[in-house]
Amino acid sequence: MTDFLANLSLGFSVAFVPTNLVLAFLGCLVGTLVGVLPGVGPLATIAMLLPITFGVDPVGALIMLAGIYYGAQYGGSTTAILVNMPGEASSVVTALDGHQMAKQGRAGVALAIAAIGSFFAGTVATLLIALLAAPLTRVALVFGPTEYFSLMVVGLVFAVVLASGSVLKAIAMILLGVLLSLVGTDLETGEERMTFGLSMLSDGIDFTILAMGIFGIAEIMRNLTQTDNRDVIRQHIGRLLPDKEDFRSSCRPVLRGTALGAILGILPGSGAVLAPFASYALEKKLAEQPGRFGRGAIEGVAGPESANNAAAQTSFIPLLTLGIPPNAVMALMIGAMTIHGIVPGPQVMTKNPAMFWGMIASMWVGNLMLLVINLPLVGIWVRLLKVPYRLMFPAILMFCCIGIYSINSLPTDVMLIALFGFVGFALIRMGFEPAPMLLGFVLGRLLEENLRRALSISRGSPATFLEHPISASLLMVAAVLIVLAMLPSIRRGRDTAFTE
Amino acid sequence: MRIVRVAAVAAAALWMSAVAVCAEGFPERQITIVVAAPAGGPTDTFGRIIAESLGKTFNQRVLVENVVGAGGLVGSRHVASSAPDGYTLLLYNTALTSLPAFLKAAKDFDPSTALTPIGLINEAPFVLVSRVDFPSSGPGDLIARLRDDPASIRMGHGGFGGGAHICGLLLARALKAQPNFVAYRGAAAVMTDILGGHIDLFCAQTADAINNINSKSVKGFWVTGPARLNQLADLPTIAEAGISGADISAWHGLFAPAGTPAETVKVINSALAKTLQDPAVLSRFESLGATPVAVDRRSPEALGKHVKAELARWKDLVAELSVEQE
Repeated sequence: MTDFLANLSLGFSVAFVPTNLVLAFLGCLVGTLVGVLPGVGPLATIAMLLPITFGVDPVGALIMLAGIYYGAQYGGSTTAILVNMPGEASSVVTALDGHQMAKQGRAGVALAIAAIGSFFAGTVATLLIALLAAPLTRVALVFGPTEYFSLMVVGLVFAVVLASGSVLKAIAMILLGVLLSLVGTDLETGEERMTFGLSMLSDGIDFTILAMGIFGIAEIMRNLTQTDNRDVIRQHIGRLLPDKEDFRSSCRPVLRGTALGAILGILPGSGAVLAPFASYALEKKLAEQPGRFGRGAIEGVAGPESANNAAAQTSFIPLLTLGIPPNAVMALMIGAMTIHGIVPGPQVMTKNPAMFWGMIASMWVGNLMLLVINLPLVGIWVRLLKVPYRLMFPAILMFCCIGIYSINSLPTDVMLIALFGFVGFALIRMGFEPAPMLLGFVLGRLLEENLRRALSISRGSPATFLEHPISASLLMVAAVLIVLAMLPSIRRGRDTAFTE
Repeated sequence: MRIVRVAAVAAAALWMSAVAVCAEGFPERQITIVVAAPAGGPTDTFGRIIAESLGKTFNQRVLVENVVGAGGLVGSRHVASSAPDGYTLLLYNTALTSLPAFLKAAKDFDPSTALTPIGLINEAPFVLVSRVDFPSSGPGDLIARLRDDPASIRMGHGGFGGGAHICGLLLARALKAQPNFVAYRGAAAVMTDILGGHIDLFCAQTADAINNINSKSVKGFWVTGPARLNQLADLPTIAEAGISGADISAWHGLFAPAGTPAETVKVINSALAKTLQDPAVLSRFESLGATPVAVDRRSPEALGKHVKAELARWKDLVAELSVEQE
């Protein structure tokens, strides 16, 4: 314990150096501002801003990059809430209820609760990293392809719960998402699948493009068809900050989301993606009136946002302790470390303790900064909604195009969001919801790749999924969830049981 | 104080070299180096180190632009179709020569004619590692096990036709025994599963291997380059372990579009040669596990020859093992 305190105080002494504080602030601010642009997620932001950090010392550079990462993550939620444009997988869930809240004049409340929930989750996750990083890494390594496959199966079951309408339509959309994720070059044979010979499809469909088209562009088209109520948002803005009632109903979702996110974030590769979806599914299952979800339930923002931030934080664990980047953003951070002459790996903790603990302390500082930056900004963002829609939508469209183009510098990407916009519009018209499809898309690739890996490791024996205890329990959970979803009477009974 | 003096000397040297280079008339404006790999990866890191150093030599801005897609084909084609004036360059790696052999979409792309070679930058061998509890006492024992029951040994790689995959295929050809390949997306994911004990073997990049061998979280068997590594002096080379024809080194090279004037190529090549003498650059290479290529292999002609030799080598490998060319 004294060790822990000594380490933390070393960390804070590094994080509180004025230049590092300024860098953390700058990182969070820039991240937030860029993240707000539709289509520009943390990955694109860090890639673009990486060169800026070259002139800074390594610790400061990493603190700034980490700040950009959290900032962009948070900025992405802002866009999701205000204009229904999730820039990445983690904010799809936020868009579901967050944008509905905005439509009801509660945009300020949604933004504020997202910031507060994220801060709480960030604080808990930072403590967790400081205390248990090393033992948690060992737990994460137990997860191999077999376990991941079963985890993704559980994730697909969550996708059904995401839907607020017909279960059959939700399943159809999930399967469509999985199919879309199969487009691209086969990992094992190098063969192109469903690309129609188009080179722009040879790496598969980019998530951001799909999400922007299906959610964002389609939303704009739908708003334009509804001339009577499209300016409804600006007519009543409502309170900016949550009241007691809001806090009361968000408190438990935040706690549960934090726990869920922290656990899933540790799994390298794919756990963090599931966190907000899992939290949303959990909250909806536990809610007294699940029907409110999808229509502006504050729990549907508070839980997933906390889960997302906790996962974003704990996903640093594999990076810090093993030098393994768990996702593309972390890979970029490793690149930044090596550019600065630090070789990431287990020895960072012992060789550069000031950097290691400084980064952990700065995570908390960064979260605090985000709160400080974002609470005052809530007012400004909400005022943006007062802009008449006829001025707003061309601006959103333009930013979308710029954002999408900035990712790969490919004009065809911009055309693809238009295409997916039409598809999304048609789907909305026919009563299909896009969220389950996006989750199916995110999980599809992981599902396929881990299935094939697990089977080639077991030399073709499907029994491997039941022989591994963790995998077997996960599959059991999935089976139970399916049974509960299939039998409405049981489900209703269970929901009432939980409310008592 | 000493640092200041060293910096002053270095600055003076750079200024003088810049004067020497600028006298040629090229470059008059900003240069873009297209890196055909995503930002943050090893190739991107080398690209940025080189860009920074060339920028100082030329006293011009040298930008790095990541154009990714289809295993680097998109970026390579992009440069090949750019104006051949030396202001758009390509920095890429081994994949440039393996793509045409492994990927159907790259069949009609011939880097030896579509691009003008400028110079090789560095090379890094692979290190064959296994999970720490893999029951094998050393290289000899491993070879015996591979020959005996190859299908029981699970060998990971980070992508079809990528360095680690080729490394495994070369081994399979030399031993006439194909291990059970498990495909991942990127080397980091393979290393995670080696550390977790889910798969057995992997041709790891040097920096990764050195770290994990030293912390005893993986076992090392041999180095696939022509010489032993300083940091892992007790690991034999693959030839010393008794396997011939399976050596492979990942390399990085700088290219311009086909038809770039020879004088321009010469100017860039001599700036690159200066970069490869800069101690700061060399120490960064070392920390990333790469060594600059030998002085006699730094000419544009040497890179051109190297590309042709590799193209032929991978084509033969694919034909001999009848790896599906798809």
